[in-house]
Amino acid sequence: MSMKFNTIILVDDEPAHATLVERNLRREGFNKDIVKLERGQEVLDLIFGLGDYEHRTSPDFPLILLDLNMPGKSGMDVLKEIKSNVETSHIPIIVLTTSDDPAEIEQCYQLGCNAYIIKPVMPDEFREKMGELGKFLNLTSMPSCSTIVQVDAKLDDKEGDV
Amino acid sequence: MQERRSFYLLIAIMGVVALVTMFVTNMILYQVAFNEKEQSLVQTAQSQARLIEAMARYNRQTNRVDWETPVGERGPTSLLSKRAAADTISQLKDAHQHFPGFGETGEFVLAGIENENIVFLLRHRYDVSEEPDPIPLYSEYAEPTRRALLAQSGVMVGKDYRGVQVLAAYEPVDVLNFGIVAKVDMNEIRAPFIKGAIYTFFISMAMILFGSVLFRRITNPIINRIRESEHRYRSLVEEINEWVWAVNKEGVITYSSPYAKGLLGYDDQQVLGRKLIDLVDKQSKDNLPRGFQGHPTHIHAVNNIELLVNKSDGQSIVMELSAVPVFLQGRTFSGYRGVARDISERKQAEQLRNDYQHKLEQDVAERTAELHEINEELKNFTYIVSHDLRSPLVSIVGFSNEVKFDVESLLAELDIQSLSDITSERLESTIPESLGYINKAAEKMEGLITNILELSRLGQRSLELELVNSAEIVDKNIKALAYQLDKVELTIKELPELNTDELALEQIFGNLLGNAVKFLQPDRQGEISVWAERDQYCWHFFIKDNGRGIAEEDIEHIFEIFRRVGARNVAGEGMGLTYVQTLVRRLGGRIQCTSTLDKGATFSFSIPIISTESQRMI
Repeated sequence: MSMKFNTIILVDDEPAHATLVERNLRREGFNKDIVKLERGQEVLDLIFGLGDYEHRTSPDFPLILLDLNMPGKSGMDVLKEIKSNVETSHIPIIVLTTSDDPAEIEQCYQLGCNAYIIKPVMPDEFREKMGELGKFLNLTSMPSCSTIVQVDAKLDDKEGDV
Repeated sequence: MQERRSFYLLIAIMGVVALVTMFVTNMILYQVAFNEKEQSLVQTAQSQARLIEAMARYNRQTNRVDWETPVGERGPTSLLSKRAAADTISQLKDAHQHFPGFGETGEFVLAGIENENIVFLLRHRYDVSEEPDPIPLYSEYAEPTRRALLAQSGVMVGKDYRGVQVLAAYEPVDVLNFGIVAKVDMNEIRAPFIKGAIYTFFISMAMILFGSVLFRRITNPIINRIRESEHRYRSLVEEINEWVWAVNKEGVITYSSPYAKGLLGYDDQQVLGRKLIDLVDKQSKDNLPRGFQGHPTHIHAVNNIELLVNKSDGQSIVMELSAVPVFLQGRTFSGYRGVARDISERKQAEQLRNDYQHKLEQDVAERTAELHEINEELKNFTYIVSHDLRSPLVSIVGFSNEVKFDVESLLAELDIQSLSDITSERLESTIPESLGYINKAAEKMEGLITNILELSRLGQRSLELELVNSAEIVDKNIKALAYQLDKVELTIKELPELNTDELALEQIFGNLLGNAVKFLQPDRQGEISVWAERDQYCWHFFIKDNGRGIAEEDIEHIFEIFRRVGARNVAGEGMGLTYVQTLVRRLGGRIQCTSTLDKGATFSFSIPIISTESQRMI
């Protein structure tokens, strides 16, 4: 499984959060496409070429930054559908959500998410975490990407501190 | 009154028996006396006859020739005989004058026949020597004399020349052609017996009377006792609110106490003669032992069997019946007897109770389900709240960060000197200060949310009961607080092993010990003691300190969420005690606090004692 990507699909029902994530990533120097979506169904349509996205081409190498708590199709549903489909299971998904419920984290990893990040709430943590995410995405978006194992491990470590 | 009649009958029977006995005895004695008299009369008559004959024969021989009478004048032999007879008679008379006679009426009569008349020649009676007048030969009188004169010999009862009934022995006197009769009046023979009978009659009557009185005297107390006891039992049987009954071996009611009216609506007389089983409703007939249906094969006592019974007014009641079989002489089955009572009300009450119980169980189940639902909702609520509360927080923190970044950028891009004092002050201090407050508030908010979440997760964690050594747990906590406890005087009493959740107990002790240390007064020697007490159901743990204590009005609030009471100069989230209370409650215990401000506080919590047995059942 490769983590190579050239587009970030940012799914969040809260436009403010999406704006914050985008701004922070850009500030860190991330220069690839960022597609912002507000509904779980929209991601699925985009990935599988359905509904409004039927005649549009989906990004070649997307990475999904996924919020869990959304009306309609939840992030968990989206994660499940993408990761259980052989054709799309290679798409990297990073869950980015407010919940720190261990059971929920456990469930996401079981469904195949590549990383789980709790949305930073503490001011110092916010800046730090966003910076790290930006650096990470900058690194992995390069054609010769580093191994995902290391990155995952780093992200896991961060989680443990929360 | 039955008894009185029986008593009189008994006396009458006694009287009759006495009379019959007396009569028979008298008759036998009379018969014997009669026979004896008869024999003696016969003997007398015969011996007299033979004596007279001998005398006559002798007189005839000595008078064969009449010496003094000339031959020519001498009469025929008959005359001679006549003379001899006369001689004999005179000799007899002479003899009899010196003979006292026999009995009061005993009489000796000599008679001959003359001109178809009975002529009495000699009659010995008292001093009277006068012969009675002649009597015609054939008359109803003097039968014995007649028979003697007709040469018959024997004994008989008949009328004598006076026409009086006599017992007479008659004998002919051959030589003189006389007849002799020895007789005695029947009255004389009978007299002693009649007298005896009268005496015995009166004596036995007197005896019977005396006996009866005595009998009554002796039996009356016994009868009274029996009557009294019978009355006692009868009234007991008749006055209790239970139907006392008896049936024969066919199951027919032979006794019924008056309570039948109260129980069944029938008079006791109305049920007599009916089969008990016929009173019982069809559907509960089988509850009665078969012994009641005339099947003497299944005979056994029954205790409190329930029968549906139809009363006389058609109303149905539940009757509880107990019965014991009765055996004649301990062997032959002769029926049942027992008691019965109306338990309809009890049955209704039981039914009602069952209904209530059922309803209660249902209610409890419903409530439990409701509670469960509410609990689920609460969990979801906590989850959603923490999620949704966090979401705006992310924005607040994030955008405050954005503003901070922008301000920093502005400061870098602009020349500070060219800005007015106010603008530079805003950019350099006012705005960062505001952002600092925003962040601080956000931080606090996040702390609260985290606490709520933790508390809710606490309720969801499943407990694991195991044998836990509380001494070890306290020891562990004390080690963790070693630095703060350095100068504190610690007293740890002996602590028990108990079945509970180890992690929960550890957290409880951790919080309480932590609080005890935290709130010690810096200006005096700290003292903390820990001990445990046991009652029937629980272990009670006590943690006592001599710290600043809690004001009386605050004590009731200390376990409330986010509440910090008293002085605010000690760091803390105000969650500890809420946390501890939740944990104690989850373990099935209670927590409480007693305290005096500035003197110290004692926290105590209980943990129920769970045996290994019941632990397995959980």
